[in-house]
Amino acid sequence: MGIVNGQTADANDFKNASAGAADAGKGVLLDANGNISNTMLRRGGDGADGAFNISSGTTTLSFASANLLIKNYTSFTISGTATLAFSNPHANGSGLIAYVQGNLTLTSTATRGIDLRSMGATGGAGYVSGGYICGDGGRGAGFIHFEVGGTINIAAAFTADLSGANGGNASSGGAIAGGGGAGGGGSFTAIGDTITANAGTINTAGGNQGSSITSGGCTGTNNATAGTDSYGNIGTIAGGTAQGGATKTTTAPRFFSSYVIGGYIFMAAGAGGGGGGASGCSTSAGGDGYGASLTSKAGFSLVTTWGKITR
Amino acid sequence: MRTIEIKCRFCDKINGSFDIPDDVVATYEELVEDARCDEHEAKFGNYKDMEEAYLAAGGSIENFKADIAEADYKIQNFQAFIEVQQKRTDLQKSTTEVELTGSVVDAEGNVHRNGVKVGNINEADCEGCQ
Repeated sequence: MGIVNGQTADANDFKNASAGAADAGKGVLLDANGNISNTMLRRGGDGADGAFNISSGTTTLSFASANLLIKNYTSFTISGTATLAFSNPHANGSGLIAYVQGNLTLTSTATRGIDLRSMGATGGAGYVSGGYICGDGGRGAGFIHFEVGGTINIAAAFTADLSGANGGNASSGGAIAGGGGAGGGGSFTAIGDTITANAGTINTAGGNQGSSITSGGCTGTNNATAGTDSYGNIGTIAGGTAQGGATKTTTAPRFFSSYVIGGYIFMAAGAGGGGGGASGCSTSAGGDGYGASLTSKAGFSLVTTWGKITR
Repeated sequence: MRTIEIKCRFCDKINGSFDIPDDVVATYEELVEDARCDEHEAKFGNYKDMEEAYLAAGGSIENFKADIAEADYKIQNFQAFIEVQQKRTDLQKSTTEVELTGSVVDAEGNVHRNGVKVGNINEADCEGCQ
């Protein structure tokens, strides 16, 4: 029946797991640690995809040209010397959302325990006409998001590589041409109540712009549009800077508070670098890379919520 | 629950596994795009890197899958497919350039159109550069 004004509430009016509409009006029963249980939060998904466990070699999963790959694991482990790589991304970039009921264990000592390079948006095409052959923009990196019901363990030796690709070099024979813009870095996030280790290296660096060709006192310039720091705001946009490819490397994963409820997480794969232009003596610009927008949400690969106390 | 082992495509060494519920219908090919042990990755290359190189050369993902299978998933064989793809792309690009502009710029910056010099890009007012 639920809690009613003027009537005495008893233990049956408080639940640590909801049965749906039958529990309308009832209160939340905190667990032994004073927390809302993961069962109530439904954190970690339903485990429908079972357990994933690799300990050696390179295992490649395909995005199958989709923006988003969603998996519901009972546990997720990359240990030993294993690498998890991805292939066949969407042109606007791709990412994996992994709901993990149990533990997330990332302890592999491989050079890249997770490899999401070049899984972001494609770069813009460089301007090409006659002798002007400008560099193409570099491809961005993909993103990965873990929502964990158990324990998060990311060891110090673990490395995830979500760095953007370099822009292409101009290649015209003596003519002025710009190098391609840098691909943006990807995003890595993990949510969970219990953290055994919050270490490892998460590389979300943007790439470097391609080299331009100078001729007759003029230098081809890079017309790429700047991306945005993936950690500038909570879960916003990934993307390295287009010109110069400023490094954005963090030595520790970023975790969100376990008590953010109903919050929105915006994630996107790294933006592609803009194509090189031939401006300087000419004013021809290269094409734009795909990417996300802070204002319009255009180009977002994912807009999601988590932690909703609903059935 | 059943276990699907992730095996190296060259030697069947086990990289790891999926333990999936019995009611989940999924084939190995649907779950795993490629798997190779450390030894065979060092010997035959990285699948993702080969895909990236092929796409960068202007190929499509559909053609990549066909070509890498024909190359037995080995970089030693696949390199030729990348080079062919790159030549095909370059040829297409240069053909398009001629059709669009008919212009060529030499090392000195001279602009030639249909074999005739029409200007120099180092000149402040180079009408032939347009």
